Amino acid sequence: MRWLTDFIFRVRALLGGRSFERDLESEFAFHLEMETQKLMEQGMPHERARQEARRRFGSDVRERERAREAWGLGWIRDLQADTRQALRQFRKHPGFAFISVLTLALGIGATVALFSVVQGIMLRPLPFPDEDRVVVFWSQFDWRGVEFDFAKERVNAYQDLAAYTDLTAPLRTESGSILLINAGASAELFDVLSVPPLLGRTFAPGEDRPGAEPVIVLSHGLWQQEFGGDLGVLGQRVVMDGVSTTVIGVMPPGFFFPTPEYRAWRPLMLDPATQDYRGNGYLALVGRVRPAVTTGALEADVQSLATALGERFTYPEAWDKSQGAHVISIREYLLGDVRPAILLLLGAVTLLLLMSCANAAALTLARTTDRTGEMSVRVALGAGRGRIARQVLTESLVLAIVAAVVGAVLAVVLFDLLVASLPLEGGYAAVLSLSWTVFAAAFGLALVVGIAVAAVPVRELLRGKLENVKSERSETGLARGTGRAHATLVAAEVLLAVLLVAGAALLIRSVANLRALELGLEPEGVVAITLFAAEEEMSEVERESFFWEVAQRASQLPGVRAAGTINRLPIRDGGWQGSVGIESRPDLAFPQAPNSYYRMIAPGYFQAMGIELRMGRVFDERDREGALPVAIVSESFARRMWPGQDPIGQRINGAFDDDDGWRTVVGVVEETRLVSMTGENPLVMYVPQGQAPFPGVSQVLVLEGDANPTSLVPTARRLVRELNERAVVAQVQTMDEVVTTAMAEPLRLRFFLMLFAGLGLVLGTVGVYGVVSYAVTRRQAEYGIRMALGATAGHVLREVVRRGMVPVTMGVTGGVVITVILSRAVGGFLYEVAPTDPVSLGLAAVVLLLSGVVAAVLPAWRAGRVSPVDVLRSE
Amino acid sequence: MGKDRPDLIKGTLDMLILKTLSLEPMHGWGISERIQQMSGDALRVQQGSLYASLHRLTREGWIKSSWRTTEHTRRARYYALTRAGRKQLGLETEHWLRLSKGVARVMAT
Repeated sequence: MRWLTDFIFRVRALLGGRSFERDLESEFAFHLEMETQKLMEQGMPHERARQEARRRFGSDVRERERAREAWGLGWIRDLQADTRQALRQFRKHPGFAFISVLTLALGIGATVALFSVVQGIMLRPLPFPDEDRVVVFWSQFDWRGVEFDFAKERVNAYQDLAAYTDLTAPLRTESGSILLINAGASAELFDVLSVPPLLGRTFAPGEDRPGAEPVIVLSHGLWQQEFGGDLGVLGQRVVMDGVSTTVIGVMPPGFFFPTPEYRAWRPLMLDPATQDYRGNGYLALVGRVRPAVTTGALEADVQSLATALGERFTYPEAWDKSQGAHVISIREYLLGDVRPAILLLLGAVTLLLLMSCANAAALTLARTTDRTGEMSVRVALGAGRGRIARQVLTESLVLAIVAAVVGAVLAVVLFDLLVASLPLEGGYAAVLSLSWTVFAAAFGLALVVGIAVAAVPVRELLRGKLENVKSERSETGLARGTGRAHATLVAAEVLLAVLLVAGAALLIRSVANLRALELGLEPEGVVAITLFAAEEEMSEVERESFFWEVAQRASQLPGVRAAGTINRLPIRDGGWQGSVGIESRPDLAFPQAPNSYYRMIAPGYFQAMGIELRMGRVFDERDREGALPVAIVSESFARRMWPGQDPIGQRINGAFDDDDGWRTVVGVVEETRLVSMTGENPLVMYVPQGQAPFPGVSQVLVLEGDANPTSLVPTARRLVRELNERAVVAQVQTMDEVVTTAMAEPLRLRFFLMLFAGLGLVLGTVGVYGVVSYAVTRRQAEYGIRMALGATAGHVLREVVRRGMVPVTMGVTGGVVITVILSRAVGGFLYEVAPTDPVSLGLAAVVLLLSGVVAAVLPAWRAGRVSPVDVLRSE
Repeated sequence: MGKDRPDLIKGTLDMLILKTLSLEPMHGWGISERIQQMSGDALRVQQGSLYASLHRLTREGWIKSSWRTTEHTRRARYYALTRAGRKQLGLETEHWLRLSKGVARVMAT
């Protein structure tokens, strides 16, 4: 029964809240009154009687405290009072509260927003069940159809094996044509992924074999955007890649494969009768592991497949699939190469959060130190030590909570800004959302920091050091211990800031170098129009003459300065590469043959693109079928294949030429960025369109105009329609756009890093300022006395700055040292910048030192203006 | 508070309060006065500890309180013994008598 009454009392006392306090007060008042009355009856004058009664009653505060504790209301009552008190404190010191809340909130907000983006792109589960059971085979190779069929028969540990590749092609809709990024897959793909469609069906067995009707499965997003979410889409016919194709299914929202950019899936056409089937590899192989298969069994399975492949096929050494057999998880395969960038960003985020915590800690520590005097007075007046300790704790917790709320708001705003400013493909924006788990984690960290920060003064309190402080007030007491803690915090914070700023500086300089990079072409005023002529709609002869005429006629269009075509646009498009034979270099015969990109161009291409001729001649109308087969090579091709020799007149055999189809080199052109913005350029050879081994289905028409190149597009479209109305304009992009897109990734990184560096700098400066200015305030009396004794304001100023700069200097030194040690980690992201680049490191050091000086001078200037008289009087 | 009046032995204050309240409901000041009076001025309640004791006893469920008007029409909180408190008083009285007898015996030798 006792626990029950006890419980009821606690609840009542709690609910009673204020009335409990009022009751206590009136009870005490009543007591005092009665006592006074009694004493007066004994003959004491009124005033004395009241004093005596009060004396007998003892300390009001302590009584109330005891009564409250006897009630066992303990912490909850205290919490209310402490929270009120904390808020009152913040109102009294708005500067302190503002800066603390702001730094913590910035830290929490930025961390949550950035991490959410990172998580959305990188860490979220892939949209199919048991993703850890989905693996990719020998990811270093592209597989041929014949190998896929061979492997499918020989894997036991996998319940399904599927092949897929990119089949991006134009989709003709009522409103025009769009280039649809889509994957071609064998019939088993959706079994491997184990995701049922939202509507209709996925591929049926055999739908990837000759004779099957062309079908397509749409992503939810594509269905919504291009088909208006119409339920009648199933069975509808669309023209995909020039072929009438039936829509058979729609996938559920959120599903993507392999990346969110892919918006549809079509069956591959695996026909043993075609050259494609046994020619070059172009497939990736994914499999789903049977449940409960041991790692050992998996490995044995893969090994036996590798051996079987080696027996069945003959491989050149360079791509021997019977060697290096291994599987990797689909996650690693799809996201693997972004991991270092993500780790880098996460590292920066963590640094930022740590910095903001260190900052808040330093400020709170300074505040508590300042209040030593106040606290000792309260102890003297009868407040329990535990009570004061709890109050200090509450104050930092309240701070952390307020910061978390502001941080949450900041996170929402920052997240929207980030998503809007990131050059993300359409598919990604849909899968991104704020992560409240991250918010909880950041908030938790802020709380922990709040408690840890309060721990220092609380420890001192509980040790009883405060007693001695009574007479000394705020001068010494906690000052020594916390002073050291302070300096350490400032140094740590500056160190983190140096890391952030130096890291960011390195990457920013890298991106700047990237910008200044020699593209080897002039993107200004150039527009690239991708033309598509589906095999099914145009014969080879028809295509050949179409592409030829387009280039010829386009150069005569009004406003066009130069026009040409190429099979793959530089910088944007890869592909069309293979081993090249060099007649004069038998040492480089197959399988040692170097790899070269193979580009078919129409005359005028080099001129339109602004690529300069270095030697020999460019192609002209004479380079047609029947004439001497010719080629033009890039500078590095000539330099590497024929060092010290004249490249003109040499003979080469490209990967797409007949085995005995030797071409004579007639020219050398400027080095051009081909597939990536960084790294060494691969070899490239150009052949004239008129001597191409086959015309291909797609060519990029490149037009150079006077001013705005997009103004040429309508006339170019008209020309295409005029020449052949079955041809499709698949994509229109200015060269400027192409270059910008290629730099999006590094630019995105730079954007983030500048954000980090900026925030780091702000936090670092605020931290140093906060701490130094508190140190100055604490020593105001000392400075006053010294100035009274003859020290000049200049002396004091120098002294303050010196004191403030000691931890800053230590932090900068430590930061530079650690940056040098850690810089290897960012090496891979740098372009023509050494990881220990003195400019970046020096910049970070100087910036932090400067902000340290600013942070120290301001309070120092105030210290120098202290009037000695004021200070002495206030003591 | 002179040295001539000993402080209450620890733990006895609760018992004395219960005893006082067993006679009639009483407010805090009244209780302290009554104890002093009944002990022939030998005991003086440290007024400070009085209220802590009262609240502790309330929590234990041995006494209950209510606001009433005094004979001088002042509002005061009156404490009264509960049934459990009466039982507790019996226990403590017995315990105390045994203890004091023992102590007296030792001191008499």
